[in-house]
Amino acid sequence: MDSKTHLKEGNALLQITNVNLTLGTFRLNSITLNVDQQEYLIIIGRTASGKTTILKTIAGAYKPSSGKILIDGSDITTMPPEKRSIAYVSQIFSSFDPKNVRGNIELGLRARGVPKPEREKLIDGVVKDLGIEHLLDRMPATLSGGEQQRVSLARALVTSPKVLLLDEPLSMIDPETKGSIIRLLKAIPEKYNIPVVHVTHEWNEAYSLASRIAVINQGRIIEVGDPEQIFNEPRSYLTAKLVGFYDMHRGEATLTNSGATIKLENGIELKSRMKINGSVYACVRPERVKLSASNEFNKFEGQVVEVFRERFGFLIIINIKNIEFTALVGSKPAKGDVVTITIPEESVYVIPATELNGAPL
Amino acid sequence: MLVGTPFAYLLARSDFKFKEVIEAIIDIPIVVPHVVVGIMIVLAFSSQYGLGPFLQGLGINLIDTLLGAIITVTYLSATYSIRVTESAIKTINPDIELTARTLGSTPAFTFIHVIVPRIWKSIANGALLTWARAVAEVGALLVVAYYVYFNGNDVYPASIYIYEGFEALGLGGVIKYSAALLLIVLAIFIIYRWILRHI
Repeated sequence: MDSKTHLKEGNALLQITNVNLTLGTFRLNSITLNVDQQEYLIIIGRTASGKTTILKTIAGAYKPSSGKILIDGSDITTMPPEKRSIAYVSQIFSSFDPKNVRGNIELGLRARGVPKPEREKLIDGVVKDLGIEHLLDRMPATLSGGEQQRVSLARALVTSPKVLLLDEPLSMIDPETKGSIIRLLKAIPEKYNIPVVHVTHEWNEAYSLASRIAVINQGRIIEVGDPEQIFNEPRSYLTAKLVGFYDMHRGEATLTNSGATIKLENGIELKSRMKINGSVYACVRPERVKLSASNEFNKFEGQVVEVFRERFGFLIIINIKNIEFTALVGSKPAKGDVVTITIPEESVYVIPATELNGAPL
Repeated sequence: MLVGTPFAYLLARSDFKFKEVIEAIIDIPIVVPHVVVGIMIVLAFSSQYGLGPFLQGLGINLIDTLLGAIITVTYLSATYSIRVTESAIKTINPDIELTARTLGSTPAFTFIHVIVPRIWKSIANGALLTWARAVAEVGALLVVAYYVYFNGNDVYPASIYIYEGFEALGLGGVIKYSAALLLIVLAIFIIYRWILRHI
């Protein structure tokens, strides 16, 4: 996809235009992204896809070889980090030792020469917002992952940044605390009237939080869209894999009255409601596959080759004429069982097998 | 400390042209006999060679002067301070500096308020090793500043004085000086380390 098509209408607060950067053998290629005032943009990608590099480039750790980064219309491409009005929250909590929580939150204000009475007032406000008043005298090393993340956010927000950058902020937090931090993060753009750029490889996290999602692969933004579009109608193979389409099988699609029939490489035929022709990938989410013969079409018999326990049931892998399908089911079949599955036609999502989509993960 | 710490930071955090050359120059005192380093310093700064005539024009003389002795032992001993501090800086995740910078800290503020509090014990340990190495220096001082004229007197470094005594008087003539130096250095090491552990 041409990165120029990512440009949004209107006056974006953060504008990244055709940014190129080389770091050793890694390259960021023509990154173009615009982020509006109260937008929550999530950049999702696999490990080493370049998502943290984009964030650090915006923060000022790396200087692009070409391209521009603008905040509120001002060119900050070559500005040092302290002049950018951007706050960066790193993946791993880094305490400003040996300072306590108050000292950690205060550091940015002291660096900016904010007088002590005003510092106290700002700190009181932000710790109240984030519910960490009781932690001010504690040492950060004694805090839980969730508390440390709140301190990181307080440290960043107390300086009133124009843009907040979050590098995998939920990766070090236990599942129990994640819910409350997600709620906190989601409220930030509106409460502080700033855009948030958050990078992650977790599509659940992206889907929960984002007002818009950008997908990155090998240093290139391959897709930008709203969460529903990215989640339900990904345009590329890579995006579909990232957002939970487990089964993506190559086949030839032929148009029919109600959509298309896709003949897979093993000869079985899948019906889809999508009108499409030619070489395609037929994509199916495991939660849409049913372990029953409830449908007239897309009904197949196969053997269970693997069973995994999941939070919501069992993830089973079924071999159907040497092509594997994955289903999320409530009851646990035994390995080796012969089962019948059906895949509703509307649950067969089809992506053209173009050059971009021809490189499976 | 003043020279070695910023230098260590530069080596730990930056990549620049000829970095390998600079690192080799820093490490030379570990691998080359110090007499050789002394000869190189004399060749570079004596009145007849290298920068010597130019420096003499400015009224600066490094041979057989206190300044020459200080520069010589600083160069020969700084390796320890630089390398110890550099290793400590490398253990700090650079993200913490980026975080501080984006909060509004200049590089100097970040270094003083974020980096130094984490590495000051390493800086102090490096300084102790550097000082100890400087006290032990003989080879280069024999060539560069055998004695120095200071405050109306000819002043000999302790190591040179003991060496001279040994040459002139034999073992019996230098035992008390050697023992005194050993005890002083030992006491300083013990007190210094005790203080570091209890701060």
